[in-house]
Parts: sequence; C-alpha cells; structure tokens
Amino acid sequence: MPEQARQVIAAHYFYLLQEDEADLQKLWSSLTAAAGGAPENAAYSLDLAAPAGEAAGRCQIVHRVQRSERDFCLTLISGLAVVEVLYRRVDFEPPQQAWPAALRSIDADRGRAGALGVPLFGETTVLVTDEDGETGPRLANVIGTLASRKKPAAEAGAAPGAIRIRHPVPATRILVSELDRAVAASGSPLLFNAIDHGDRSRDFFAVSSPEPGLTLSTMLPQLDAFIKKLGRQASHFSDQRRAIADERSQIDKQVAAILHQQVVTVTNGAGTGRLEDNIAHLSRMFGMLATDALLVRQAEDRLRNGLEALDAALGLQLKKGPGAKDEIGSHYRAGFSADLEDAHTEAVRLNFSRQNAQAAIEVVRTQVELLRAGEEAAIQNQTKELLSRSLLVQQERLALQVAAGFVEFVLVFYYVLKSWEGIAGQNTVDSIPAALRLLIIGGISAGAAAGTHFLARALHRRSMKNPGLWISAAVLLLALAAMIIFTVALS
Amino acid sequence: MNMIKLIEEAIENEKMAAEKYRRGAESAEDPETRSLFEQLVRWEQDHERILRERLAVLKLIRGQQ
Repeated sequence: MPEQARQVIAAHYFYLLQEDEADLQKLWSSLTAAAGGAPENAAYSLDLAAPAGEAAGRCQIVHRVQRSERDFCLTLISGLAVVEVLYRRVDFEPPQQAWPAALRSIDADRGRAGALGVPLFGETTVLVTDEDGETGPRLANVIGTLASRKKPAAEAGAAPGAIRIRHPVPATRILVSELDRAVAASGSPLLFNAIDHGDRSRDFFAVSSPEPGLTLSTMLPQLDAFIKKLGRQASHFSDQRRAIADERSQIDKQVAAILHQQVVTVTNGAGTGRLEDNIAHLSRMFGMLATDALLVRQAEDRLRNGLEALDAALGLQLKKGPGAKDEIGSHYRAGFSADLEDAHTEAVRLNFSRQNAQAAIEVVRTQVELLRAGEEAAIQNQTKELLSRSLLVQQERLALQVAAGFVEFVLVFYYVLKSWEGIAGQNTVDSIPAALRLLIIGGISAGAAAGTHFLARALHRRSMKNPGLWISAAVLLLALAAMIIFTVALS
Repeated sequence: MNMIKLIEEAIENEKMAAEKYRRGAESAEDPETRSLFEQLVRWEQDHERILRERLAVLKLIRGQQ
C-alpha cells in the first residue's frame, strides 16, 4: 500500500501519572496486543526509570505494525506518561471522510482502557486534515455527533432497566491558533481546540497540516499535558480556596463576635477568665489563618510556575508576532491568569483577616490587663480599709486594757489592804506610817496588775524573756517581803 | 494515615456505594425507585471522578516537591 494511503488522520492520547507504572504497563500491553505485531525499538521495556528513548517529550517506545491502521508511542512529559495512538487511513478517501472509521477505532481503544479500569489522568482526541478552511466546523460537527451518541438510553431505544446517561447539550466553541512553522514543517498549519463541549471524559483538538507528524508526536502532547496539568491543579486550588474562603469568613464573624462579647463582658464587670478563653480561641483562629495563608501562597507559586511553563510551551509551539492568530494561547493564559489573580486576592484577604485576629488578640489582652489592674486596686482599697479597722480595734483594745489594769489595781489594792488588816490586825497596820503602807500596798497591787499583764503576754508569745514581767515580779516580791517584815516586827 | 491513602480508601467506598445503588436500581420494582437509585449511582460516580482527579493532582504536586 502506498505511503500516502497510510496518512495519519487522527490520534488519541491516554495520559497517566508516570508513577502509576503498573497501570501504564497494563494499558500499553492491552492496546498494542489488540493491534498485533511487535515493538519497533530493540530495547522494548516499560522501565520508566531508564527509558529507552532519547529525551523526554520524544517517543520512549514505539510500537508500529506494518500495514496496520495504528501506531503507538509512549512519551514521558514532566510526571505524566502519554500513550499516543496514531490512526492511519487505509484507503484514498479524504481524511475527514475517514474520520468516522478512525473514531470507531478510538472508541474501541477507549473501551479497552475502560475495561482495564486504569486511572487515566486525561484523554485527548485529535483529528487531522490537510484542509484548514472547514476544519473548525467539522470538528464541532464531529463532537456534536459523539455527544449525540450518549443521549439517554431510553431515547436511544435501550432496554428497560438500563442506566441512562444524560449529558448537557454541548455549547461547543472552537479556538484556532497558528502553529509555528518549526513544529509544523510546512503548509499553513493551524491548531483547533474545542472547548465547552460538555464531554468531561476527553479533550478535542484538530490539526490542519499536510505533515502533522511532529505536531502529533511531540508538540501537541506537550502542550496538551501542560494545559491538563495546570487545569487540574487550578481546579484543585480553586476548590481549596473556596474552602479556605469559607473558613476565613467564619473566622471573621467569630472575631467580630468575640470583640462585641468582650465589650459586653467588660461592661458587665465579668472576670478575666472568659476573656482569657477568648484569647485562646483567637490564637487558634490566628493559627488556622496562618496555615491557610501558607497553602494559598504555595498554590499561588505553583500556579505562577505552571503558567510560566505553559507560556514557554505556547511560545515554542504556536506562532508569535503581530497578526498571528492565537485564540488557544489567549484562552488558557486568560483562564489561568484569572486563577492566579483569585489566589492573590485570597492571599491578601487572608492577610487582612490575620491582622484583624492579631489586633483582636491585642485588644482582648489589653482588656484583661486593665481588668487585672482594676481588681488589684480594689484589693488594695480593701486591704487599706481592713488595716484602718484593725488599728481602731487595737486602739479600743488598748483603752480597755488600761481601764481593766486600773480596775485590777484598785481591786487588788483594796483587798490587799483589807486582807493585811485582817491578818495582822488593825492596830499593827495603823502603826506603820501611811506613806510606807501606801508604798507596800501600791507595790503589791501594781506588781500584781502589771505582772498578770506581762505574764499573759509571755504565755502568748511562749517566751519568758520579758523584762517587764521580771521587774513587776520583783516589785511584787519586794512589797510582799516588806509587808511581812513590818507585820512581824510590829506585832 | 496520609492524604493519598485516605483518598484511595474514599474512592473504594464510592465504588462500593455506586455498586450497591446499581444493584438497587436493577432490583427496583417501580420506576420512581429505579430513577432514585440511578441518580444515586451518578452522584457516587461523580464523587469517584472528583476524588480520582484530586488524587492525581496530589500525586503530581507531591512528585514536584
């Protein structure tokens, strides 16, 4: 069969994570076994750690079968493994007329992949033509036909009980970019990309070029892989941002509520315990915001790096310069730039919320300190009042002690005099000079009154080291001795 | 338990749930019940798809670190 008859008319890319080596092995084996033949390269191996190919982005392994309608190529692109299947026409009909047969083959291969249950990162179908004028509308028509195959089973006359699959009516748009001559080799190469087609399971491209080989095997998988990776990451980060924005919003509300509650608490004169609980809660929220801010910053960095990588890929593959048509590049750049802008906006909002939480912590902390200062002043006032009351009590006690001492002195004086007169006789006592009598009885009375006072104090202090006690005892003993001596001498 | 393992378990749970609802749809005796089970199957399949997408992104991000 002439080589012209084996022109590539379509391609399908199966993307897997490079680390899912076992699944890749299964998919490759299943697809190539169905095609028959043997691998073209001598070093046929799926040992991805030591690939058999030349450089990343080129076919690591090629599986080509003579006169077959399909060729297979395995390419590694920054963490992704791409199984590229190129479909060739086997007769002389124009490519677009051969598309239905190629699409049936693609469906069969997709069926094989689906039956294996391998986790695909993504799929892309590429249609190839050498005419650019009608490629866009034809691509839209093809996608419409594919979507119509998935109409509800009941409408399609399926058996009752079958699971119906509903798809939204596609609002397909076709973007067009001019390819760089370096990758398209010749002709007026154009790249078409269908978007908003409603089929989440795969992406659609079309290439209009007389020699699409390099575009299909190298350029398009690279560009497509970048778009897919960035798209997935952007979607993941967008969901993450949504969750973070919800959390931030809740925290903002809680911070406001705590500040309000704190005002009420202070007005009500409640203690510092509740405010300290608030500080602990605010600190936890501050920590959450700091973690969220870190996540958003990391996502922002990754998106920025991804966008730069995409820019580099677009710059290499698509035509640049004034007047060059680049709807594909513009579309994806705009979409991912908007994601990057959203990430930046969220980072700024998180920063504001974090500052608010920090300020709230400071405010509540200040209120705690003020409350503590107020409580200390109240305690000081209470202490002062207690001290003044104690002083008053002491003064009263002193007056009572003096009065009691005087009463004790008078009583002891009277009873000592009467007792002395009773024991020694009235005449004996009267014969003693009055001044001496007064001195003796006064000495006994004063010694007894002062002695009991000092003795009580000594017992209270559990110490006899008290000069007042000993002096009063000495006075008492001297007066008693004088009383006895005079009584004996005069009776 | 790390995030990857957690998501892989969640995917298995979604698959089991979808299978359970599929059996429910097959054995449903009235159209309304069958329709409900079919809706549940689609939800579980959607959850599985979302989880698979997130798992792939996490693996990619982890691979880039």
